[in-house]
Amino acid sequence: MKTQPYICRVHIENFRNFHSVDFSLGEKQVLIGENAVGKSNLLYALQLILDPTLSEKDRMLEESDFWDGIENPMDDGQHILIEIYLANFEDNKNLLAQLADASVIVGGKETLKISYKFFKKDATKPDYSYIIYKGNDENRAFTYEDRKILNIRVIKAIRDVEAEMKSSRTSPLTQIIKQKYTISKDVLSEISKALDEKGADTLQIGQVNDLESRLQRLLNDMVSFSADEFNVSLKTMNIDATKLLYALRPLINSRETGNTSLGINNILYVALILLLIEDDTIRTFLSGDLYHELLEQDHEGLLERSYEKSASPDGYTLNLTALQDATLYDSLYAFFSDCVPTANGTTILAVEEPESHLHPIYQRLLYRHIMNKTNTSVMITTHSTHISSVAPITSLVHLITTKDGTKVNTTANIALSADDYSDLTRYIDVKRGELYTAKGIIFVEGISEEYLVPGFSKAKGYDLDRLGVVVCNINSTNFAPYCHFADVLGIPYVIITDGDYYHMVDKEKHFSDIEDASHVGKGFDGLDRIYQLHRSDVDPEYTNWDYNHQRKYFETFGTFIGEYTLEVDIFKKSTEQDQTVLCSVFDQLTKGGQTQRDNFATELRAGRYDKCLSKIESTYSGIGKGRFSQRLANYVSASMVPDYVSNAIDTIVAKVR
Amino acid sequence: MQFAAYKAEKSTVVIAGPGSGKTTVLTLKVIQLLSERIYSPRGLACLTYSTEAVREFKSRLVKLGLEKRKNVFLGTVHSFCLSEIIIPFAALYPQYKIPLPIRIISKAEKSHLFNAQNYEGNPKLDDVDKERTRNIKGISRVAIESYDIALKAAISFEELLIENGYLDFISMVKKSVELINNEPYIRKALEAKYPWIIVDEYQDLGKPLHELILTLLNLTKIKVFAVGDADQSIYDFQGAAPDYLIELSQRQDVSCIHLKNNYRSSQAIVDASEYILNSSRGYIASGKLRDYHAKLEFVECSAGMDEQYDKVIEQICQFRAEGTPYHEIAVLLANNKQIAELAQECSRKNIPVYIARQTFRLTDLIVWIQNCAKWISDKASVSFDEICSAWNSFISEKRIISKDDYILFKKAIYQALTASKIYTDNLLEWLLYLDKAVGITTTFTGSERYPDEIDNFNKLLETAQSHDEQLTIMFLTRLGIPENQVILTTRHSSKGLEFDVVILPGMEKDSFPIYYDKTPRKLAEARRLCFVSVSRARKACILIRSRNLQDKYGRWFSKEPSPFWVALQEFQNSRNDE
Repeated sequence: MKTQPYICRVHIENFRNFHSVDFSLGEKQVLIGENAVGKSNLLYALQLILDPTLSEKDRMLEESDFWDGIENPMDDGQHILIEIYLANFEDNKNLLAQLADASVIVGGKETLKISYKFFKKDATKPDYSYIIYKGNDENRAFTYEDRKILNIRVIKAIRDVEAEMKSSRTSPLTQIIKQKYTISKDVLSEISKALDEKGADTLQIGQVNDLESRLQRLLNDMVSFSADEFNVSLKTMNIDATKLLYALRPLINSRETGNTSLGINNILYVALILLLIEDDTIRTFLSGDLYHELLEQDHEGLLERSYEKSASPDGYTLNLTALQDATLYDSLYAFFSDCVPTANGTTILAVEEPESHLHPIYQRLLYRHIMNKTNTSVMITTHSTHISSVAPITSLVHLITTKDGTKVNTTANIALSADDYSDLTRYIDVKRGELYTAKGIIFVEGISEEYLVPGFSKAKGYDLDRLGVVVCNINSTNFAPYCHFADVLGIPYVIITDGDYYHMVDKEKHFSDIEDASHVGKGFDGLDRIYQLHRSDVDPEYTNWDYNHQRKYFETFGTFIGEYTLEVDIFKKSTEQDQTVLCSVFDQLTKGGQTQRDNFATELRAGRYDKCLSKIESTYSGIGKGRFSQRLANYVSASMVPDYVSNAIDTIVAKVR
Repeated sequence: MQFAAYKAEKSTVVIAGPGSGKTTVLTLKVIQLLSERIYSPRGLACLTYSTEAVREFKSRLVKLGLEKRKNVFLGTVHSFCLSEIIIPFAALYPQYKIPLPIRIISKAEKSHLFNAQNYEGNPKLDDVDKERTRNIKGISRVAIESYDIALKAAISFEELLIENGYLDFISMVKKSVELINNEPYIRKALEAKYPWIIVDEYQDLGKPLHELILTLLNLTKIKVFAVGDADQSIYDFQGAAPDYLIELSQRQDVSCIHLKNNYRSSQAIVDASEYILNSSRGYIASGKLRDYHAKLEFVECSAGMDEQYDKVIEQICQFRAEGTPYHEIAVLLANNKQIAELAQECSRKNIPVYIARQTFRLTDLIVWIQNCAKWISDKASVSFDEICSAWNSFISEKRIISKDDYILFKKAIYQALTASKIYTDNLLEWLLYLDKAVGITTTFTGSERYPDEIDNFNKLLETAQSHDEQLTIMFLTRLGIPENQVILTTRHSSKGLEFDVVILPGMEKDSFPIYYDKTPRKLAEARRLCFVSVSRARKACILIRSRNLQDKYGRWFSKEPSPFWVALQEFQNSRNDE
């Protein structure tokens, strides 16, 4: 499939939520971030340049459009600047022909740059005006002519799909018929006559039938997850030959759209927009005349291999199965580019909150279709983790409020190994994108922390949910890709990891003992791991410090390391009162008898915490770390919280506040 | 054949002999491509030899219904290189050391710079420029012997120009070819904008254009439609040669169509001109004069050019008496000196003459002034909007008019032109007023984009001043249109024109070809020049020669007839025998 040009970089100054941001983008993007962070304003910045439906008046901004951080911007002569750069446009002849003047070189590579500037033209006068221009030359205006070839179409979050589809002026159906099909007047008047005489309500026009089947196919491709297929048909509300095509209405399963669900209507609407902006270099339908005309120029038999005579009178429809042959597709694409030149432009599609009115399953299916099966560049804003959690992790645009305006962090250029990429992808999917909703993250390595850290926080008087801090259990100690990902997204985070004390026995690290003077070759695996994580930044004096110093040092990096495992560290920290709680939790859960319960209490009071832990993990008790922590979480007290965990919580809370 | 050219889907060379209707083929091809094959925003580029040819071509296309649309470029090779390659890309690729901001050297500055150099062997600037034109490395295998003294100077002069931060018309094209060759992005941009490039008078355009076209053919999918006639290549002094067109037409990926019908002349004239070429082209008279009994006359004088001028006037009077209007008679002379001499003689005999060439050239500025004059005389004849946008582009070098202020700008021009009406009876005063009102001198003095316009404008002022009778602005509105006047022109400038009667004085050996043209290449060029001259005629061609001529020191020499005279007489005899 031919991919389309897309916006690869955006620079914004002083516009609404944004003070000064510069970020890279990819072909398909998902914009996430809390309410009022500026997702729609980001799209609006692009619309100022690219949306043909905006008026001159809309493009003329006002003082209130300046970033809030500037006082009296217009008295001060401040400007608003929006710059976009394009990628993947070199082989799009129409786009390059139209916009070659916008060529600039960035980092040794040619790109197209278009800018919007709202500024004071003459320092001595108060008047502001705006210009939109190509490249670096303010005199090369970017005009509606350019917008015909490169534009953006935004499907708003709040949309009255039904009203839009009913008005022939705004209906995407009418626009498709107008822009993509040519139907001769003779055919129309014949049909009109037939409708009038027979009262039939189906339209026997090759082009309309083609659109019908495309729409049906697309709709079912998009969201069908069961054997039930939507049946789509088009019906006209006006049989007058000149108006017949402009009064088309879609019926789903023979119902008018007013009578189908809001959700389905929304999907239908998106489907129509997709058809409207689809690259249609290869025609899905050829009228008989055109087919025979093209046949003369087709010396390779491409048409005969790709088209079949349609059921409706006089026409040929594209055989999609034949087109799965990539070489045939490419040849046919080249043939059409050459023989049926079009004046088509490129449309970037932006959909605000496609989740509106949709069941989560539809959300995911619709989203997957837009992201994976369309060849247009797409931007989606969403609050739905059903959507963000299946977005490629390289497609995220994360907007965050800061004192210096909203910052935009994108993952388009993230560098990850293939393994890390797939681990991260699976993690995000399984955890339903919880990361994306976070204002701060506590990365932990296991189930115990996942249960206990929220409890500890509560014991310390913090409500993590309210603070937007998410505890992410990555089920391993491979923190690096997660940290990198959080860095790129601009989300503050801390890491809590076990100290994993060891000593050498037969030249091998031996874990899970409690430190003893007789041990040789002592160390903390946690420290070693975190050292590896920060190795490029670690102080050269590090190796001369004692373990506590090292631990404290790493806490300044946001990495918090225990001594043993979390449970042992809790046991170690526990007061007498806490020990009673711990024993009672053990008692509640164990399948073992009174002897085991007594033994647990004895070991705990004697400081043989390793034995306590092995009792929790033993098959005899049948508890397991997870279950223990889950139950313990209900009873934790502030005194039980190990220092490193406590510090980690304090740190992340300070960062998000 | 015309139709085959019209429908051509691949790169095509159309060899178009005299009177073959090549301009029609060319314009129809452009319209066909734009209406059937190429959709906006893509377009095509039409490259022609001179700005006059551009204007002529433009007005024909507009008459055929060409609408203004994006990426339709009509202009000279130089303007194409400047506006489509140098200006957009020079700053993007600084490694090519194209001086920025773009400064085009004026003729005066260039000869000043050149004269200051004292190159070895004292080559002339024209010769050096010719060598610079030909000295471009590339794909073409055409080898033309170089003039070493000039070539040496050419190389160092070219560097000197760049060092001084200047471009001239030659380096502009050469730099463009270099950019196209090395930068794939530029090729992509050109290919996107111009899937077709149309070239008129290919034989006149010289090696840089040839290399540009070959590079585009080799490295892009751009298709070329070139029209020309190697036999009409007569601009050797500017570096043109017939070989380039021939090379292009022989490429595998280019089809060649030969238009053989001559819709202009009688068969006898067609045959006579072909006889001069000394090789058969198979041209067939196909117009309404096909069977006209053409007159081919040989007039001998005993001594001196003055006697030839008398004979010319005799001939003019005779044709006039037979009903040929003055403007259908043209006298093709060797040089401007002869034109001046003959013009004087004609004025003594009260024969109105039109001298095609003025001291000033019909540059963009002069055409603009001409349009202003036309607009004042008849508002419907020229678009005021176009007058404004042309002026806006002139001044854009120094001042940018914002879209908000554009209406004020238009108003100012409107007022200036309206107020100038009181001077229409006196061209000089009108020009001086216009200059003051819109600021012609201030706009063009020191201009880097139009370095020669101020000089040209001054020449127009001189012309307005120096004429014996007072000129009105009618002089401008009628510029370029002879009004029942006999046309006096050089043989070189006669290209592209046609007349019922063509008179060719100066047909002595050593006059034509001129004595210092000795090399086979130069002699072939002279032969083509004679071919062009004779084929200008529809109905009659009169050759005049003297048996004795004076040299510049006043000494008399007896003169043999020109080899072309001999050849044509041979032809005439064989024709009489039949």
